[in-house]
Amino acid sequence: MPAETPPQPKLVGSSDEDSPGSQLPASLRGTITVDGKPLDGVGLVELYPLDGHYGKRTPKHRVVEQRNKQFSPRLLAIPPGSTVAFPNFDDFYHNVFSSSATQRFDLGLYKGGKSRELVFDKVGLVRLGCNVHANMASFIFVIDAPAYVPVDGATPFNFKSLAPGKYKARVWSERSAEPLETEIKLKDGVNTIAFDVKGDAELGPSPDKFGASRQPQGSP
Amino acid sequence: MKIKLLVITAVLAPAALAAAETADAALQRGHDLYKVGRIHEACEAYAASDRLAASAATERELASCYEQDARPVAAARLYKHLGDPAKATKLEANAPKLRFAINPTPGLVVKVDGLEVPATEDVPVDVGPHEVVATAPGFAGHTSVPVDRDRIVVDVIVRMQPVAETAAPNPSPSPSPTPTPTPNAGPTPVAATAMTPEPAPAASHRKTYGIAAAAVGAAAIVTSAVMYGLAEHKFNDEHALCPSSRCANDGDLATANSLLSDARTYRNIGIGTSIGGGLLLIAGGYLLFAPHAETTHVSVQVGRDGAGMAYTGSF
Repeated sequence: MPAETPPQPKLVGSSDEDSPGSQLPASLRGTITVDGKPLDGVGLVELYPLDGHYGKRTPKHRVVEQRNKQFSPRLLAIPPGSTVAFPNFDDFYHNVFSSSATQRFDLGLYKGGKSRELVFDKVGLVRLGCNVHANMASFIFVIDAPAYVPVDGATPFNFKSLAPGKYKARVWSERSAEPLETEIKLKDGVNTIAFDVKGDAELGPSPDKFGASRQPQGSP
Repeated sequence: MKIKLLVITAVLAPAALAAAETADAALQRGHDLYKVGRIHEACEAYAASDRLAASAATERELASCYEQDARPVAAARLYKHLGDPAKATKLEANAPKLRFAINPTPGLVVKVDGLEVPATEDVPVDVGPHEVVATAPGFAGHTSVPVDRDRIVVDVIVRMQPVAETAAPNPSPSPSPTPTPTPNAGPTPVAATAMTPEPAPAASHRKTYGIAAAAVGAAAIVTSAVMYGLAEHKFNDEHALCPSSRCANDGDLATANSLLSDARTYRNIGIGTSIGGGLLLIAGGYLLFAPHAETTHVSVQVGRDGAGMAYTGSF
């Protein structure tokens, strides 16, 4: 991947982006709050029709880059079977690993200019870390829901094209240990909602790839 | 007996075979992964194979893999083992290095990722995070070092902190807790160390008491040496902070005063424990080697500002 490749955005992957042109009559706008306060960080909303009728999404090819000692995007949502490339744009070594139960892996150390790829085929959350730089973190959601949207802080999320009906909503934030699950009902036209999740996740760097706890490093 | 041996053989033989097969399978998996460029996983497979059935051929594959996986020091270690020191030296020359900045402390031991290394030389390491632990009698320090570039020298500063030492053996019963002075005891006065056997010791106990007195005396001498070392350390810090008693600012002045106060305290404790320890050694020697006495009574008081001893006996 050329060095002049533009940086990845903070959030990548939503059902509206992955299915452009869909013209269903309902939409849903809303926000996520954490213990009643505006979300500080990233989150994700997934919607599953309660009637259970929905099709599978096509796997994608996405990128999570390492640049300036940060992963970008901070949150990536992909359908199962998607391939993610992890190019290193810094002029020093990075490592990419995950100890998440969904998919444990360790891509090893590699220099700037190199890239590694991995297929994600299990549904769930994969938290990424770099074993060299404790402050680096990112989240990959492997999602089989037909509708999903990533959320950045207090910025409202927006599902533009949904079928009216009842849904199970799963709402996650990086401040939450577990996602919130609730049922919602959508009618024709614009719907609005506010989800409040618990802020019970442990903050700070994740443990290293051997499970040892780490202290935050001086600068990101 | 023969039946038992047969059963054991029958149980172990398939297990050994399975291990050999697994080692071969792991080696093959390593080859397959290496071919498709999944170098790190290939190295893990080679390492697994080597653990199951170590061989020079597998270790050579593993060393080559480590070279590709940005682990030249791990590769060098293997090449040394394989009798290729020239290649090992070449790899280590290009590896990142750790350079330690640790106060020279008697008995200093430095370990990187659990392996002891020389404290005064640059230590080649692989790219990645490293745990540096330094220990010395009465001190310990620890730091994590992320190394993310080739050929760099990373200065590693380890701050040695005083730690509690294991209490010196005190075989005689003590009427009150008598902690051994520790380097971080600071201004806390050293509690009295008393050895006052009551009633007077029987002749058969002379040797025991003599050994006990000598042991406590020796421990006190060691403690005093630590205290002197600490005092010296604090004085040095104060001199470094305010050379020729001139401080750069009020903050440094306050720190220097605190260092001086600590240094004096440690020195006084050192004086007290050395006097007490010396007297106890003499008493122990006397009890062990002097002619028999009917009763003896030894009591020693060691305090922050001095020490005293009373030794009475009827001979």
